[in-house]
Amino acid sequence: MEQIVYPYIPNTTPEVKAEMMREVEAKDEREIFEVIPDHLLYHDFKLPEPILDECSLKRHTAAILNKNAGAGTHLCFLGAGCAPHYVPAVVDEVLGRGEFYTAYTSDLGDQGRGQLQFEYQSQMAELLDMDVIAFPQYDGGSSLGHAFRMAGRISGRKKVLYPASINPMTLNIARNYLTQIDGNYCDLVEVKYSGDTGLLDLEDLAAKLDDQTAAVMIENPTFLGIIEIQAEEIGSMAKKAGAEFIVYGDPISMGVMEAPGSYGATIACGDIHSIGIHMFAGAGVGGYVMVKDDPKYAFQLKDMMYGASPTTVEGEIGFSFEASFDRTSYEIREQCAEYTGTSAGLWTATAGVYLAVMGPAGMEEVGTLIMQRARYAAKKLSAIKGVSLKYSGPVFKEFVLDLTASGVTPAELNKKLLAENIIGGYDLTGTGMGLDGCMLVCVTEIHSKADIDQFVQAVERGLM
Amino acid sequence: MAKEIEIREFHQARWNEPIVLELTVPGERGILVAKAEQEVAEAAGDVLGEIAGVRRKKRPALPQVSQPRLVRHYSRVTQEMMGSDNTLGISQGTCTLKYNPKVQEHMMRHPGLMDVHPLQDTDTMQGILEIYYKTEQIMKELAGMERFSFLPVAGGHAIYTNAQLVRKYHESKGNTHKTEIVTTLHSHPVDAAASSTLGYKIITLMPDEKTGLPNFEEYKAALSEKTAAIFITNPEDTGIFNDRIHEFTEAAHQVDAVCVYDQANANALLGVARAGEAGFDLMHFNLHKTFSSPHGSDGPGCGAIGCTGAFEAFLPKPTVEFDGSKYYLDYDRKDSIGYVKLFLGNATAVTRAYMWCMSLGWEGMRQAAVISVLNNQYMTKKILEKVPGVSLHYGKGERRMEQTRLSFDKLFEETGLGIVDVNHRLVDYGISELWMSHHPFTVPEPFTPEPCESYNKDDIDYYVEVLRRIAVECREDPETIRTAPHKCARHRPIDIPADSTEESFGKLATTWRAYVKRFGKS
Repeated sequence: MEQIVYPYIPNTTPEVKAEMMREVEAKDEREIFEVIPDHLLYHDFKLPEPILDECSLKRHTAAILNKNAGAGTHLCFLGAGCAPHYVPAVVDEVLGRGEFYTAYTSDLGDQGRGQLQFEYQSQMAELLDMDVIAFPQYDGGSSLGHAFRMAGRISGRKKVLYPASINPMTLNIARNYLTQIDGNYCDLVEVKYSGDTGLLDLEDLAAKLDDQTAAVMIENPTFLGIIEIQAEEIGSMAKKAGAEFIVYGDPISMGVMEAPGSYGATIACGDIHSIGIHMFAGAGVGGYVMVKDDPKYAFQLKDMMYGASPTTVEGEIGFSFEASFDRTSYEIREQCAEYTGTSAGLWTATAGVYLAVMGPAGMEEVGTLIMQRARYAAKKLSAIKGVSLKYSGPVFKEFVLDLTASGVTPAELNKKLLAENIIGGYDLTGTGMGLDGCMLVCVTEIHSKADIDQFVQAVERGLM
Repeated sequence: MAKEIEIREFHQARWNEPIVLELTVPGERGILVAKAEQEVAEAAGDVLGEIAGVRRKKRPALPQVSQPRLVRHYSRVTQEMMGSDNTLGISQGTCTLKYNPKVQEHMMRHPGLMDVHPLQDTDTMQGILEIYYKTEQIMKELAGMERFSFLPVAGGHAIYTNAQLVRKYHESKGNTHKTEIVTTLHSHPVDAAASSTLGYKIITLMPDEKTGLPNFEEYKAALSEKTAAIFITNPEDTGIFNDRIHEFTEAAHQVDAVCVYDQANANALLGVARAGEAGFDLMHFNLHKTFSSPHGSDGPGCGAIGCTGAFEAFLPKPTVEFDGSKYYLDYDRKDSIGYVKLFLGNATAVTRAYMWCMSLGWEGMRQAAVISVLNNQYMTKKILEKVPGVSLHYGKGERRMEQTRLSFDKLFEETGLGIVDVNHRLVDYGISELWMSHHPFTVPEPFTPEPCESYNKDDIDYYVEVLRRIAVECREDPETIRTAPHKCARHRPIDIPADSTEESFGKLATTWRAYVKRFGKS
């Protein structure tokens, strides 16, 4: 059999390999593995034949990926936690820097990485009006689970209130994260929302809020797209009851929407997907949890933290990810409050680049643009016969269309839209939210008037 | 005749770039944003007026910087990093900093991956699902397991998910008394931590002083009716392989405990030995270690979990299935632990792993294991021969697998300089710091290099020569060591608090606003 020298494995060169085998005094490969007993070795791997040359491998993989549609090939109005947003070229440029994406745990050697992460953290602090942030979580769902647990520890209470309009996918992840062998870490209690406006039902909140409540949590904007204009009042109610106020926010809305930290959030969390991260079939998500400048809160963060301080040279700033390291499971194993590990550093750094590229004006403009286009689309779509807007509250980038009067289900409509190269909205049928026959439509800065008009016409045809 | 190894002169870029917020020139822009078309603006009306209660009153103090200046900033900042694209990733043991093939990175920008929404109709994402399905078949064969899930996006996440599977398994059997997890000190600390996050009591076996391995009798004594599972790494962080592993799993099964294998780093065993034959019920591979997906400056990765048939029903939702003509997602799993991750996990890591496996096949993957172990045995021998002040504490004379726990104890005794000092100096040679050991340390002045299959003999010789030089410097020029680093982008930060006390909080600056408050502007 021809001996292959693998390009990724330089020491498969026969001469070098033989020399090294001599050096380690191994007569054959079996001897290298001599500590492994025979009965543990396996010799019958049934794996596909390799595609050894790069050209064929690339074509093979591209042929598989070509079977997918997406926002690159279709008009896409699908949101629900992931959405087609514009990623500036500068962001992609940094994302593609090999020294960055191949880096990992060097502290002194990777001071540039420290700076990128510190800049992300610093800009998030300005955007959210919060002060302390640790490494990211896996996604918005895991950030929410972490926020719930933090609130439980800080308040010493167990009950957390969340809105019935919450993203069920996010809630499911948080729910799983609260599940322990001896009962739940926190007890989740749902608060109703208005079927007219989509806003939280403050009477129901008042009824459920008590001295056992660890936290009141809201999404802003909500999963159903509504801007929760009562946020400040909800925060005050939580504060009066001695509960934490957790705000789950969408960073791309915060150029126009008030920063959670400015309307009373004591813990801010959410997903950074919208700020400079491609969808990547759902891989482009990452969680954040932020708190105010208070050790009672900061030391409840479970993840490592990039800190900055002066260095041994006057006037210089240096970075280290070992700030307050003794909180983490790396140092204290099972004594930690919650485990930590690798998360989503690639995305936080690039989200930082996004915020710097956009700047204060860009964030305000993109937020305004999204609101205008979403509103335009909502008006046009709800003017179609058999279609209405489910809620009257102001929306950010998503809104709920009620199709029940049309007699066409969201699933049926989406099939017809697909035939016109349009990816329709998220079908709320079967989500358990009581919204069967409704569709959550997402409009972002990438959708021009022409795109929206094309979508509206296709919906019209689809409902005929 | 051995080649003389010449150490190349190195100096990292040092731009002293200010924090990006400090680059602000009021009014400058990094990008322009489209304005709403007139008809859109008119139809939309005063969108901001309607949200008066939560309308932003003051613009966020984000940077105001032109695009050329921003690009220079980021080019400079990224030059101040030591990714494995520009340095030897040998230092970071257990992390397997292997080469991340460029063809895989190029494929990440394919619109059939980059622009796919995870909630699309599965008819429009058959390609993604095909890659998941085919990668699952490969992983099953590599691990000797019956099902895989790619939903966890990190090693810790995989261990957490496996702990949830353990919980659900015992719950399904009515085993309410199963409250303890047994692990070893030389298994990754997240094995203990992720399990304790679920409320399990952790029993940690200390290593035997001579072998470095857990003592089998002590292990058996730690097992009881209360044991829900064992979570164990093998080879352990020390690079030592536990050759009695099968007895360990058998003993656990005798008390109805689940055997969970932390194979985040499977580089020594890929295509050689499998979790299945060793008697494990659950395991995971880190696709960002063993399967070449980049570490991405700390994720996202993928902790692919594998299980035997007895655990399949409990796997997180959704699973990827194939009905003979079409791939689909199965959410209808009544015994599932539920959801652990939004959407489908990390499709980029799965796609890269698929390409990596396909580029190598069984023989290629087996060679990756053979060479990574050979490289390590060669490097361990050379370090012990050539670098003064290094010793090997346990398992003497026994072949190591893909990494080796070594100790600068003698160097420290002789010079007062140890691994932390060596690390400060190592970056002056263009090499990232050595990973020491998880906590608590079981040998003094520990370090754990891992010369995986991406490095050739010359790379290893070079690496060892740098270590030798530094050990010599510790004796002959200790001041240079004490004041290191000298040649990297920044010097040592001096005021980062290591602990979490009220007092140290006064130094904790994770954001620029906190930095200015605590240290003023430099």
